[in-house]
Amino acid sequence: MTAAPLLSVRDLTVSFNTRFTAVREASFDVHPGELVGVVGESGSGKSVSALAVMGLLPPTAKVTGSIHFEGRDLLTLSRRELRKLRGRDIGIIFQEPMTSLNPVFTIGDQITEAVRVHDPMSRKAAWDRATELLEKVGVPAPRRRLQDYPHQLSGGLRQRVMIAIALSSSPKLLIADEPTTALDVTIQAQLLDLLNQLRQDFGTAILLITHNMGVMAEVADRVVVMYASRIVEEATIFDLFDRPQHPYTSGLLGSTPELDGEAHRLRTIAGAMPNPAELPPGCLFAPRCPRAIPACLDMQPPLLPISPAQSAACILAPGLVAEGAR
Amino acid sequence: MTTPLLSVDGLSKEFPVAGDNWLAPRQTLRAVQSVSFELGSRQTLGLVGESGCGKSTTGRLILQLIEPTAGTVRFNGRDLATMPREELRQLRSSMQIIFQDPQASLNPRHRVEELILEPLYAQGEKPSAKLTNYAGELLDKVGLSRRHLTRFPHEFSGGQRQRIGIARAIASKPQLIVCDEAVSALDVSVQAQVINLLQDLQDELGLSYLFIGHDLAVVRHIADTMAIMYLGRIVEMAPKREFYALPMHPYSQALLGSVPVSHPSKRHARKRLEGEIPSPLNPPTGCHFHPRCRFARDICKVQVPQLRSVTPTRQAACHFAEEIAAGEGLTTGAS
Repeated sequence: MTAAPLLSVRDLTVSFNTRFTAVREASFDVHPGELVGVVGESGSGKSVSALAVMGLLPPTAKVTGSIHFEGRDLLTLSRRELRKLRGRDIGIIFQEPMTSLNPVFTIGDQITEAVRVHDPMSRKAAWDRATELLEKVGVPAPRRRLQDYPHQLSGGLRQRVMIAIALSSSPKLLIADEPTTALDVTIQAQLLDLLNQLRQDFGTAILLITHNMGVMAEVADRVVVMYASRIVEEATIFDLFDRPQHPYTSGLLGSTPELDGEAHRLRTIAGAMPNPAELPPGCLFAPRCPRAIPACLDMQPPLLPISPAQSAACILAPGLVAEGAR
Repeated sequence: MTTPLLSVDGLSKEFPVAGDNWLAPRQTLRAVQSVSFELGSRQTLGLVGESGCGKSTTGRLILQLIEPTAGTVRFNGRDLATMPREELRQLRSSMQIIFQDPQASLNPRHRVEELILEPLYAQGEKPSAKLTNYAGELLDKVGLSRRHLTRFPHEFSGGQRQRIGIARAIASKPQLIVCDEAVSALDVSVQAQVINLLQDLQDELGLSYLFIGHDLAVVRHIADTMAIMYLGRIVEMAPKREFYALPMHPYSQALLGSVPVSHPSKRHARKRLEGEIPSPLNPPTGCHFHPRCRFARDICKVQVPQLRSVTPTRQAACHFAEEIAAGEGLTTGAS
């Protein structure tokens, strides 16, 4: 892709105190209209990365690096400017819609509030716009639903309402943090279809955070794989599934249960994620890596390109071998 | 014919629920309706469905943790409901459960040794060096080590805690373990480890599992037989291989179609299931699934389809199972 990226994250490092660093030197881009997935397990730093882009980290977090959105570094903006940008140009969806919606206001109140913050209009016009938005995200009988309180809606419908709020200002970028994790699989499938449809209809770029490789396979164009605070691989979705270069990516793909082929014994990754307070020396994945060699303990391999569309942080990845040996 | 290890017949559970306001009459939530199945020794039955379908209630009914409204549960041919209390208490060591959330099911103030041996203490055993040694063996078996015996639950990761839960479940040498969403809360790489562990233990100890889950891809790796539940009823039951090759009930088809693909090349515009799961308090008439079913006809609105044999090996609760399976329903019903 040659166009300028919509979002460009460089060397993002987030630490919460001197001992605990949640994200280390993360760099990735999201282009207009693109769906980039960030995949990783608990503690990989994927959600903290997303929160950093949203500017929603607590004040105690120490953030370095840069996060450019349409050329402006979000880390240098004032809270006021950031607030304006968020909601207008960047929409956000969280995992648990019940905690994001205010229980004492109706759905209609909350959507019209979002609509009018960014686009002053009469209550009546905002109400019409809200109906339109709910219709767009596939909520049946939208006009009646606007009168409902969040607790009267199912999890799937609540998440659709959240998406409607996020879309109220026609954002250029939608950040979705595990948006389908709390939902039943038939509802998850409906929401993934909805995300795809929104991209087609509005050209919204989406940054999707998930732990589920299957969700990636369904919707992502490009995927960033995180492990224990670092990006270990970045690739197009096809390269990632066909030619994973980092052993962690292969391990993750191997341990994902599938519906196709023989129901073989699952491949596993030995051991567990390292304790963030006592990280191993060298490559963070080395203690669990089936291919680890002594050199892996010497240094943390940087994320280096293998091809124009794929990078990996492994000294054994083809094309990096020479460099690692030097 | 030999007696199956577990035989469930017409199991039902109704919960009284308060009305919408204090004037409204009490309502009845029919969580489980006439569920019947058998589970043989060393077998795994995968019980799959979405939130509120009654799968967890079924598991608890079988273990007599809650009392059924109707129906019987036979364990080795003996009816648990009519069994004297004391005998049932002893029999409990043969039936164990692993919960979804190991954090919530392990007492944070107890050390691992106590936690694991709890089922034995409940049977009247007293702490001893021999039991401590046994607890150590159990930890080895589940991939932990005996040096963990003196630790507390908070010192472990989610995957390790689930291993402790498994060690506790196998401590009393059970024949049946109900795994209630036992791997659902775990990270993918840890989930795979625990699934493999459960399979190894099954082979080694001759266990039977009732594996309750919502993820068809996960259950496929461990079950021998599949049972699909929707709003309190089993809608389909079949040997695993046949089920995944061709689910017969329209709901099973939709459920399978909703599982994320395993490779981006398999993305396709699928027939998604529309609408949401209706409230179990007020389920649709006739076939519970008919409002969302693309094959539904008039009869589905009025007549409850019984779970019946469609082929010698499989059962489905659908008036048109044969047609749908034959592919005919695909054209007539969709139009």
